[in-house]
Amino acid sequence: MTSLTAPALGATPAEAGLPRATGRVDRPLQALTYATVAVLVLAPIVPILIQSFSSKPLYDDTGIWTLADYAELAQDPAFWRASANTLLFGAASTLIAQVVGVWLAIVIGRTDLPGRRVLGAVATWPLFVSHLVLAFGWIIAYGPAGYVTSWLTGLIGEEPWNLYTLGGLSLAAGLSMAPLTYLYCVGAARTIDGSLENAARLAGAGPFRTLVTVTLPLLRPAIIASTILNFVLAIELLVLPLLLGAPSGLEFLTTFIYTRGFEDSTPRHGMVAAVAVILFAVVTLLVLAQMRLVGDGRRFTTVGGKAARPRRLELSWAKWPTFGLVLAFDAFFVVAILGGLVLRGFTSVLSPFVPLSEALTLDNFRTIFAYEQYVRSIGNTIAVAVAGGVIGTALVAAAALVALRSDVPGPAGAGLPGGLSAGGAGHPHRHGLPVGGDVAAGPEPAPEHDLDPGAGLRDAPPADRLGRGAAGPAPDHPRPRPLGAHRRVELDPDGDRDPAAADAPGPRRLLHPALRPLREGIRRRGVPVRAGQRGDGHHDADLLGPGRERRGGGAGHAPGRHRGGVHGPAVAAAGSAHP
Amino acid sequence: MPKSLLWVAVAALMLGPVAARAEGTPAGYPADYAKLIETSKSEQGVLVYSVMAAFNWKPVIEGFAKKYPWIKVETLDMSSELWDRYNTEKASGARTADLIASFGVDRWNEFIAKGEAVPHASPEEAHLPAWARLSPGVYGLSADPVLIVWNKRLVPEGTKLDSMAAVAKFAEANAQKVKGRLTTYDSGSGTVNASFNWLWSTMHPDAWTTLQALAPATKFERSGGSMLEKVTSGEYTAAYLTSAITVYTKINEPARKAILDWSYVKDGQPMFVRAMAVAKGGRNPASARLLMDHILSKDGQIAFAKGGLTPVRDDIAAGEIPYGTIAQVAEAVGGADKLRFMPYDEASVASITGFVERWKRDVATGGRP
Repeated sequence: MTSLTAPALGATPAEAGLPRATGRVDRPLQALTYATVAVLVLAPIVPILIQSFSSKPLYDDTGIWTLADYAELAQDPAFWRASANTLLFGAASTLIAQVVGVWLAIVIGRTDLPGRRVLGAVATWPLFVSHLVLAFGWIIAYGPAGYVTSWLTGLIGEEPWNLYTLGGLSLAAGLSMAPLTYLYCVGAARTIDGSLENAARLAGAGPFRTLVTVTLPLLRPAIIASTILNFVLAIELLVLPLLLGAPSGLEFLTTFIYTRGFEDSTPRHGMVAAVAVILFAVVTLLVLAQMRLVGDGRRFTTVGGKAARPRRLELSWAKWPTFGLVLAFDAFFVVAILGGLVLRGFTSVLSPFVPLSEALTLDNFRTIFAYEQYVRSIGNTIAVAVAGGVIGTALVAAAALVALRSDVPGPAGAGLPGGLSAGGAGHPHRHGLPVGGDVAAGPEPAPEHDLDPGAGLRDAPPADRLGRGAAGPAPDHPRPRPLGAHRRVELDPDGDRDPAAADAPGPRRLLHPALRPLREGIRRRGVPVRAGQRGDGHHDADLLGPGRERRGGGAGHAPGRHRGGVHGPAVAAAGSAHP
Repeated sequence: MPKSLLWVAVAALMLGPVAARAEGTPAGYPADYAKLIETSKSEQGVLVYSVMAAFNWKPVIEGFAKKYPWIKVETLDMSSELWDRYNTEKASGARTADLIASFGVDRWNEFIAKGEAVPHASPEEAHLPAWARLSPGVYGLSADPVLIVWNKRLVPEGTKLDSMAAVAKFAEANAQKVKGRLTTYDSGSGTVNASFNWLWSTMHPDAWTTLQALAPATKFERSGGSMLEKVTSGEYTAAYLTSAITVYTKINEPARKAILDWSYVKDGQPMFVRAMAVAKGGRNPASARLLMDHILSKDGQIAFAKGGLTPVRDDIAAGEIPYGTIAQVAEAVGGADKLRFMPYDEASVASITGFVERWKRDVATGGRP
């Protein structure tokens, strides 16, 4: 995990130390990067914007400028119904995701819950499965003929729920998004200084009051960031609403776009683009709101005195009931769904009317390998992922350097306290990609980086930090248990919000999911990081000063610490980045 | 490297004689057909945009490769986005489909009206019924019956849902039990999906009464595959006016056969005609024409039938294909006059548009909460 915050292998101290590159060679490179990013961001947006004001499809050049599509939308009751459904669905699913996700983060990240590592790891599995596949999983388990539904119907004599309703859909989507919230909050939850909670308890607060007045406020940046992110994800969700909502005739903005734009005999290009522009505007506003709400992360920094091992809250009598609840969550909303999918893969039919033993088969897999097209599609997927990862890593790394290490003005660089943030390199589980940190984090803290005079100065100009940092201990200084002044920046203002989302205006935010694999790549490669915070909340080295970095510091223990993790490939890659 | 070159050489030696033999014009074809074959050799293969899956194409392409081994066939399995993709690619000068095989009464009319279909008289034309000759160069490639499928465990033994009237009667008698347990295509999701219900409705003056009566019991789906899956799992009791191609190929799986039963529609059998044409925007018109004529040939039709399609040709006998021929369907429903082949005329465009509007008003609301 620490490899994430290790410096780039090729970075010379001079490079790493330069606050702003202004060299002669850099200029054109910076401009090129800037232009490339601008083109990539604008390429999909501009045509949509033009299309929304055009009377004909873009390929037909007889179109004229018009507002007709917006006007028609305003008068289309179906559009308003879809908008209302989208808002309701977004709000309900986000609420479910947040309540469940934050609860999971607290009980797994803050308490002495038995088996928390495994339970926490299982809870994140849905993140690795596409929504399309998850939707089928929900139907297999909880649809009207789902095996869980059938089993319960047999017990109580009537159907317990209907998945194909706004409520059922919101529950399915909310629980599918809860792992994202969990990942956002669990890192923050782990860093909370137990002494703050202890202080509250000593002052007479009950556990609930402590939770509400101390723990939750400290999680606020992570909660706000994940709330807005989840809401944006929810209103942009297509597959779940299409598969679970359509049979009941529920329409949402995304399915509205799909139906009018793809299925209709006369696709309404203009109207579809107009809806997309409206959705885009809403998302931009939300991202701006997020920037405003958590923009100044320093407000959430706590300064402690003597360092203490992060202590876990004791659940005492609630221990086993809580364990049961988390286990039930994992069992019903992760294992039941993914297990149903696996089962379906190995059966010819999955039906209560057919004994499982008669349906077992490998034919589904044989079919895949019998057709060139299917095999090719697997190959394509892998090729796209690899090529995308490589190209994107290079591009985002370049963009991050230009935005944050150069004088090139622009939105990406504006408003940042400085330091490299765009890749989220210092953030171990950005955007739901858990790497290292949250898996590896055990009750035992990693060796703290020693005295850090840079504490509290993380937002100072780099040169200043550099100066102070350079005065720190020698590189070979053994790392004792922290003594004395210990950096107690509990909630990393950079780390716990979503940098790309918070720092970028709408367009980049929209590209965000697409860039996901790219950022992942950056982390693995270890772009120089100013002040990283690992998932378990322990600040890693400030890598600016020559010789101060714990180069490859993670290599020694990373693999061991990843044992038992579920994030196979990502973790393996992170662990092997510094052999 | 030398080793792989050796293999290429061996392959060339083995294929050479085959190719030479296959080069002759197929029997009964006009003499100038050889020119077409010759032209195809300088082209880059055929790109097909279709609504059929890879497994439907496989036997067809294998047969085609025997006749014209130098033509590489690529198929893309698409749905309604097919047309827009073609339009966009053609407008931007990108490589696009050489051959299009799809449904859509309105989209085909638009395509033909815009002059996008390359006119061409197939040498196989004599074997095609009138309804399969949509326009010069546009031919029906299959006429697939629409079916009713039900779960035997959920429908009392002896009840055969072999007509829409039987389905309506069953739904009426079990109103509570089958509420939301029937399914059919969602006519609100585009005219292609609507055409299943529309075609049946054109055969009955009182069709709306039946469709409306079924509405409260019905949930609407977008794909035949998902209907079949959900009838199998028991989520739905029955699917009416669903597509045969998904049912035929899966119904004989032992596990499914035990729980599913199906029937043609005795009170009016819609026959869903898939059409194809060589597209003007394609770069390989000669190869595309060869493929089209192959699909219309007896071999090609039988090959497509293996994947569950129903051949349009009049000279295919029962037993030559795994599922029913048109004549067999007619016999099962009580006469050829009970069949209705999807008409691709202009009047149908207005008819289907009107159907969708009325469906949204009278049926969708009844079936939806």
